[in-house]
Amino acid sequence: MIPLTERYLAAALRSNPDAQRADVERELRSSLADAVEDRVAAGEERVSAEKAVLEGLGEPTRLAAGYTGRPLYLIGPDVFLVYRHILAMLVGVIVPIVAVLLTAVELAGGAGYLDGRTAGIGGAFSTGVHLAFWVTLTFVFLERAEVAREARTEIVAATGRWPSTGFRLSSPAASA
Amino acid sequence: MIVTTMEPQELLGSHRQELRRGTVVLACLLALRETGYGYGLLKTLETAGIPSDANTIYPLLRRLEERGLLTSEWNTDESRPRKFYRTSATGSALAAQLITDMDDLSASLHALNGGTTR
Repeated sequence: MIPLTERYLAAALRSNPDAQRADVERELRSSLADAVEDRVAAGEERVSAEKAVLEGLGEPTRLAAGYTGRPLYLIGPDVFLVYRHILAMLVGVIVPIVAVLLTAVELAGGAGYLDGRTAGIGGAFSTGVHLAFWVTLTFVFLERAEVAREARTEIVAATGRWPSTGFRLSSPAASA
Repeated sequence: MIVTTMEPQELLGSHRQELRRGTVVLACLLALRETGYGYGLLKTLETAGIPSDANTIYPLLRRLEERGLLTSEWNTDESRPRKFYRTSATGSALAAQLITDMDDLSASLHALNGGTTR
């Protein structure tokens, strides 16, 4: 059986970029060994000391996130309001249009009222699901991808409405 | 209205944690003016009355190093190789500023509390 520490390290280091993995691993090993030795010196059995030390470090993937700085959420507070706004706008505008259009097309094609309405609702529903999925996926990418960091800032700034700092209300007096 | 009920002990714990969160960096920068390694630093902080979690401190050390606030060096002379950290000049300057801010904050809070500063 693979020792506990080895399995823990593998899980904690998996997402580390290669450039720093070896160094992080070496350091974690020595820190873990220090902690275990301390407990053993205090009279604890090695096996239970090792277990306690690893448990003290917590969920390994959480520790990994600490090292990589990767967020433990899909969409963070910086872009959440923009995300919600865009999603509400798209769904609120496009879904009713699709519903009306589909119904009209069905009716024009000679379908009965009930059939037309069913087609409209069904189409609108799947359009809504698609919209929500793709908009969410886009924002998850913006949130997590290193390359998207600048784009994220720009998008929030471009909306001009929800920056986390530097919020300004346009003053009506200034334009007079 | 939803009223969340928290045990007084739990409430105190969560606010304490919040209060301490901002001071971990300062504590590390101050403690590492004398060279130290991960586990040793944990013990130092604990002895100093600032117990911190290993899973906070270990990644934090690397981040502080990336920002140039700490410098590091492997010591492989002893049986167990350890990575030693030391607060850089930039780190020291930052720590000095932060501890002044901390004192000001403490004085302001005591003033609000209606008493004199300790």
